[in-house]
Amino acid sequence: MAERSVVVGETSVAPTDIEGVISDELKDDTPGVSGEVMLVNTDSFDECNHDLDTQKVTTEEGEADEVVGEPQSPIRKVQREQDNDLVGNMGDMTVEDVVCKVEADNVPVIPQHNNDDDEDEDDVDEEYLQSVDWLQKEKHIFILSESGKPIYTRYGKEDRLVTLFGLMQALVSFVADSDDVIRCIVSGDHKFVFLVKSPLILVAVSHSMASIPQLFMQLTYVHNQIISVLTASALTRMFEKRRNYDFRHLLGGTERLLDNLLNMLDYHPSFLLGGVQCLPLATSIRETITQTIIQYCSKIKNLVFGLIICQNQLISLVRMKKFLLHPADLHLLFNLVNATESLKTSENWMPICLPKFDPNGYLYGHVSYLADDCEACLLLLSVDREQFFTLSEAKQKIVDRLRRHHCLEGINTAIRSSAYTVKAVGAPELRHFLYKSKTTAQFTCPQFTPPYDSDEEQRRVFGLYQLLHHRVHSAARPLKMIYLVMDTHTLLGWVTKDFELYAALEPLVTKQNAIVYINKLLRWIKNDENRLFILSSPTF
Amino acid sequence: MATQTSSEPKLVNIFIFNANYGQKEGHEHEKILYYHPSSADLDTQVRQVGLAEAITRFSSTFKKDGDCEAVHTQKTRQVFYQVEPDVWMVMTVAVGWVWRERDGGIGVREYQGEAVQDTVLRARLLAAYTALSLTHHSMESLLNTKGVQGLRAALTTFMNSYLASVEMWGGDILAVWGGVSFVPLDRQTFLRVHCCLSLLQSSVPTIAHTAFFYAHQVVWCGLCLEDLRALSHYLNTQLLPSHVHTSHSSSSSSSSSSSTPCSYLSRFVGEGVTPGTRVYVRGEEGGELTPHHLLVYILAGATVCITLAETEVLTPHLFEKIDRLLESKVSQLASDIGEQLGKKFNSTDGGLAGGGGAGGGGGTGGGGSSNFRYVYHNHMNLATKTTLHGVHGVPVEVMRSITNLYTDMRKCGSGEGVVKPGEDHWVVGRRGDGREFYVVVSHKNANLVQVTDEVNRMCASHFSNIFLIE
Repeated sequence: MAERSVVVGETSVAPTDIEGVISDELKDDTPGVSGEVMLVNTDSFDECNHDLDTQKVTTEEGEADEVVGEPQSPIRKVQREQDNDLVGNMGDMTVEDVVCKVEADNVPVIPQHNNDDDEDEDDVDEEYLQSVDWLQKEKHIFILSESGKPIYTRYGKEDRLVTLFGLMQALVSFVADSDDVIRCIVSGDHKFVFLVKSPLILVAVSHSMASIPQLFMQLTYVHNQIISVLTASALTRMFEKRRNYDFRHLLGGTERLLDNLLNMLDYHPSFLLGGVQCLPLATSIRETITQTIIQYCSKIKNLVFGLIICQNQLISLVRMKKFLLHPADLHLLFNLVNATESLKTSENWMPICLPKFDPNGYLYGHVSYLADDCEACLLLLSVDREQFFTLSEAKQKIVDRLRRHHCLEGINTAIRSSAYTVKAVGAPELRHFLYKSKTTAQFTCPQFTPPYDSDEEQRRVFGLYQLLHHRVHSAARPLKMIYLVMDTHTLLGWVTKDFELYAALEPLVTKQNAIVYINKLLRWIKNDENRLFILSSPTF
Repeated sequence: MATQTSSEPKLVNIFIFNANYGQKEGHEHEKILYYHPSSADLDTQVRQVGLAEAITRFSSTFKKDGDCEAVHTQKTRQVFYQVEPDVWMVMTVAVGWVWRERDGGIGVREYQGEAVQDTVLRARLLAAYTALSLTHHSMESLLNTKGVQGLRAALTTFMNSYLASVEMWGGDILAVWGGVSFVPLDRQTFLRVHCCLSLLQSSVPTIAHTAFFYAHQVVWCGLCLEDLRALSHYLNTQLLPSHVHTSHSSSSSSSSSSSTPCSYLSRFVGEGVTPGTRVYVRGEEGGELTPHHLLVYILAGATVCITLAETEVLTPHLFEKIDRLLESKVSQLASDIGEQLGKKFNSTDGGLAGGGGAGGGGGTGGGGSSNFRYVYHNHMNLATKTTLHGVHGVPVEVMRSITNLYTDMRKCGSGEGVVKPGEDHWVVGRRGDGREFYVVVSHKNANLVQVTDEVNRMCASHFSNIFLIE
């Protein structure tokens, strides 16, 4: 062992760092590191803590913050700059029609969904609280107004939980009376987490492995999803205007998005890691795709982001020079595409608010699948609401060129075959891992293979990843490394300034071997980094 | 700008309430059995208790089979213990904060919520209740014998004196374990202690149990573990600290104390001619708490605890007899034990695997060249040993990460855990067979393998006959 123990440096100061026994060629050559950044790469949990700390301050200091927020709005900024250039392509009346069509498409989905299972149990108020089945759901999510009006429940019907909502509101306001904010109630493995985001209160009741900060993060996602549909300013305005409004209508069309988001939050690592998974693709194909987007879009004013995604993975992202996309915003776009069947059949023009980009304004999105024979979805996001036809035309040209260059086939092949299993690494006692490159905010992970072939086992190992993640992200005492030996697994969580790695290994693996495998893994990712990650950052 | 820039955690309140009382509106104050600080006005008390009760009820709608344990707010941490049916003990601690300038020049109080650990705080509550049970059996029995007012009065007396002697909101893994430390003794001395107590018990057959302590550590105990935990906590926090000044000034071993010409009564703790306290203990086999007389005999740093069934009548004659039987033997034993400990101290920080489940000795790693220190606990005999505490303590963050590791290993049934809390330290935790220990290795450039190798070497030399998962 010893002769090849060149230990990797986490910081330049301490050359012999943690436990990494890593061979020479890897030194200072961490996989997936890139100076070119297209996604915001701040730690999402730090952001969340930051928000929670400042929560009180902003409420104390009143509205001041909001006023300041307006002129800094990125959307305004783009509009202003482009206005100076030229004001043109306005006047396409049909745009409004398209928006209406899109909304009409969305709405019918919801009642169907709800009716399915709840139709015939119109009995007593609060009967859920007697139902073991309902009570034992792994994670409940409730949304209510600050005055205690029910808005959303993940399971069941919100209007039959009036008392429960009232109780939650009472707890929040009671604690607020003493100039404090309630965060969480712990009862055994049950956690009740409260996120107060005026004018809404969001509550999670969970007995999963998710830690309190992780549940806060999830509630923040839920909140962002609502903002994404309504915008923060519209939300506040609505509540100011009509205090006694039945707010359930307010979410009209959002339930579907929320339900889908909540399902993803339970198992998809992208939210936990605050990163994005890329569809593994040969560099040449990805390069062609990106160039094509640039070629037909760079002349279009007001276009902020152009991206192609499929199955919650990113294929290509081109952005306006000044702006980065936040992974949390990208996750909402994934969710939108994921949860909206109707996008498949038509070309769509819809207002989308990206809360991290600008919570108070809409971007307008041209959203369409590339072709009937290709599952990838193209999103062109602009600040100009009158741009549908320009973008529609661009899309057609993009698809044509991609077809000519066989990129659609390339994407299709990748969708079918690019997922890999941990076998590819060649580390026999390594069972599964999550690797996130911190600078690029991207991650990669293999498909689950036995023993993680059942849903239950996958949930279990994801729960353990959550535990590791919690410890290495603790606000006050982030661990550099955690290594746990259990009857059924050996777990490793390791954070350096460049990456985060979570791995599950055989229970009886020796530490020496564990290190050998982890090094092998890092080398493997390094070799494949151009396929697994997008290391460039193209702009229009 | 003389504004405050940081704040440490501090106790806000601690209260006991019975959720069944004061059901009628306007009578909510009847729920309150105890409230600290007593200076808080009744309105505040009622509000706090009301909120706590609402929270317990709210959480029980989802979690039918368990209790609410803690509430986190931005500024406080509140922990709960339902100590008896419908009777809750609640403690609120203000979370410390640090003033931080954020980008944009706006300052923000960053609350250090993670510096306050639920596990530790709840262990503190439980310890308080255990102490209460030792001297008062239970609130229910207090209620039955003295009525509600009597219960309130007893709680006030007990809790006020308890809070004065125990820091409720601080602590670490030791508080969580609530163990006791044993004096590491050679077999010979241990047997002599045993003989001395057996002789006492056979000469005074009315004695139910005996226990022998030396300098806050356990030498031998004839009571069950739960009793030992309570008794040891009671001696160390309540009885002995106040006694130290009045009785013996030099706790270091000295053989001359046997010739002190004072009356035998001065060696018993308490007032009057038959000084004793009433305690509730389970006895050797465990079982129900039954009332006993507790006599505490102190001589030359050694403490002998004697319990007799409550029905026994205490007479000055009995005390005299006990003193006669104990005096010379105990003073000799105390001096021998003191000498042994002194030797141990100077050589190494003794093994844990000594006879009779011994282990202990609060050596702070003095003289040892090692760069590792540890805490050890055996759940089978409550033995706890630490070399982490004392003069060269480890950073508080490292201590907290031990508690976290303890929680995590329990949660996932892990036998070994290794964490690196910062650049300078590693913590290795192992458990198995009712025992567990956490080693802090201070080694800047070690890697995972080196650290575990080092811990293995330490185990081989210190825990050679204790099985632990590797």
